[in-house]
Amino acid sequence: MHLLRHPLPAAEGEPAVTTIRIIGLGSPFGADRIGLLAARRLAREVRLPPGVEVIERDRPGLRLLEDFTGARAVLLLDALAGGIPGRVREVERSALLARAAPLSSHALGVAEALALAEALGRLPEAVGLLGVETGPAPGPEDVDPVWVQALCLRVPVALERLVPDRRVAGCGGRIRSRR
Amino acid sequence: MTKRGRSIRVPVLARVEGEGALEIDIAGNRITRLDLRIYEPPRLFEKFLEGRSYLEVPDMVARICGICPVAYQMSAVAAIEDAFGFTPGPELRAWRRLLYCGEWIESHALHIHLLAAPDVLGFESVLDMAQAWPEVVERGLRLQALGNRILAVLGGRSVHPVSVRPGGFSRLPGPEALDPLQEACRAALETARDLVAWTASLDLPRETQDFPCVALRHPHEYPMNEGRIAATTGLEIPVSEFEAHFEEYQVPHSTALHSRLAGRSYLVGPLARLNLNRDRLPPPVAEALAATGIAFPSHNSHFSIVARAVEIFLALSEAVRILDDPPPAAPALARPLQPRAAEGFGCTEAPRGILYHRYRFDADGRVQAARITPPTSQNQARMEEDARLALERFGLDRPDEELRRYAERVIRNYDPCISCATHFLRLKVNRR
Repeated sequence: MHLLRHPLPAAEGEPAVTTIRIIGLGSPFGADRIGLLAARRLAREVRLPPGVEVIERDRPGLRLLEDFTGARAVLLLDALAGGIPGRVREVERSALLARAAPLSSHALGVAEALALAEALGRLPEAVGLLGVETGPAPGPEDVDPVWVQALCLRVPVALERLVPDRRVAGCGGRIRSRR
Repeated sequence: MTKRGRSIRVPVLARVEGEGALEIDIAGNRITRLDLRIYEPPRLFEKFLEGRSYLEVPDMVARICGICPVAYQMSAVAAIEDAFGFTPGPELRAWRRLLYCGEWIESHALHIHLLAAPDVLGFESVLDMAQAWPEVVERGLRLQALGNRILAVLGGRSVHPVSVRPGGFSRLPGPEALDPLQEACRAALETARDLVAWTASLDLPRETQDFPCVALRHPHEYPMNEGRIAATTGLEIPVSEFEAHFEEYQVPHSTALHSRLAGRSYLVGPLARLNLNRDRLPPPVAEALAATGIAFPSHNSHFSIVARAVEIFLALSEAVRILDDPPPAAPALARPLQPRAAEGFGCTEAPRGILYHRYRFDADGRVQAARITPPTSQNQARMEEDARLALERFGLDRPDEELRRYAERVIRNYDPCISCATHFLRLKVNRR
C-alpha cells in the first residue's frame, strides 16, 4: 500500500484540523464486506493526516446519523449492487440524497440516515460515496482483495474532490456556511 | 448496503436491512391465513461456531446482530462460563451490567424516537416527523449517543465492543474516562424521566390481547445478565431447563422456527420484562411509572413504547449508580478459564428480550454444538397472532396500503431485529 503513504498533504501553511470522516459500510457477508474491509485496511496500513479518521459501520441503519455529526466531510465506502464488477464509482451528495427520496418500501438505513441528517441540518456539505460495483445480483460470494485495493487507492482523489479547500473556519480560512 | 433497486442475495440471516414479508388470505371480514416472514434466526452462525475455540465465540456471535452485539456477547460468555464452572464476582457483574445499560439505552432510544414515534404521531416516515418535530428526533439522538458513549468507554468502540472476554474484560477504563461519563449520564436523568411521561401522554391505541409474558427474574435486581426464566403463567425455571419448556416448531411458510410455551405464543421484551419485574425498579423509576397512570401488568402491546422509556430511565439510573462508585477494575479483568468437556447455558436480556445460548464444548474448549435462540425469533408467533387479531379489529375492507401500514405499526411494537428502516414490510393480500 506504499502508494497511499502520505496521500493527503496538509494544505500549505495551514494546520489541517478539519474532521474528515471516512466510513466503511457493509455487513459481514460476501461482497457486502467491501466497505468494511477497505476501512480496515486504510486504518491499519495508511498513516492518515491529522483530522482524518476512518471507522467501520456494520449495518448501521439510522445509527449513521451520529457519525455524520461533527464531521466537516464524510466519505462513505460501500459496495454498489449492479454495474460492472470491480468498477469503482463516486456518487456525489445530490445523487445520494435523490436516491433517498421518495422513501419507498425498499428504503434502506443508509439512504434514510442521509435524508434525515439533511433534514436536521446534521449532514455536512461535503458528502460523497465511493463504491465498488459488484455486478448483477446475486453478486460475488466473497470479496476480491483487488477490489478492496482499488477502492482504497481512489480514496485520496475522492477526498480531494470532497474537500478541495481544507482550511478551517476560525483559523484564518474561508468559512463555509452550513445550511 | 447501498442498492440501486436490486438486492444482493446474502445468507438469509444477514440482512438486518432486509424486508419482511406478510401474506394474508381474507374471506369477508376474517383473515383465514396469515404468514409473517420477518426474521431469520442465526442458524448459519450456529454451524460456523462448530470447531471454534470458546475464546473466539464472543466476537463471532457479536456479528450476528449489527444492532445488539453486546447482548450476544453477554449471553455467550454466560454460557461459556457456565460450561467451565466460572462464576463472575461482584465487580465483573457490575461492569457487565454497566455495559448492557449502554446497549439498552442506545437501542430503546433509537426505537422510541426514530421508529415508533412517527407511527404514533401520525407521520409517514421519520423524515416527515423530523420536519415537524426536530426536537423529538434530537432527543432520541442525544440519548442514543449517550448509550453509545457508555459502550465506547467500556467496550473499546461503540460497535462490536472488543473488550468482552470469557472470564472478564480485556481492559477497563480509568477515572479520566469514567468521570465525564458519569456526569453525562447524571445530566440525562431528567430527560429520561420526562421521556416516560411523554410516551405515556401519546395517543396510543387501547388494545388488549391475551398472552403469556416471559422474562428473567432475579432476587433483587431488574434483570439484565442474570436470573431464572419466569413467565406470567407462574413458571420459574433455571436457564438450563429452557429447552425443556420452550418448544421450537417448524411452520410451513417460513424457515424460521416458531417458539411456544405450553402450546401458546408468548411475548419477550420490555413489556414482558416490566410486567414481571415492576417490583425491581428503583424508587424514582417506579414513581415515574406510577405517575403515568397506566395499569401494569399490561397486555396492550402499544404500551411497549412506555416500557422502553421506563427501561431507558432504569438503565440510566443504574449507570449513574455504578459510575458513582465504580468497582475496581482488576477483579473484573479476564483471567484464562479452564476449558472442559461440558455443556453450558446462558440467557440474558437483550433490549428485545431474552437471548438464549447453549454450547457444548470438547475437552479443549472447542464448540461441538451451538444453539442460539434470539428474542425476535421467540416473538414471531406472537407477532403473527397479534397482527391477525389487530387487522381484523382494524377492519379489512380497506386498501392494501392501509393494511400494510397498520400491520407494520403493530409489528413495530415488538422492535423486531429486522431493520432500522421505517418501511420494512411487503404485503400480499389474497381476497376471496
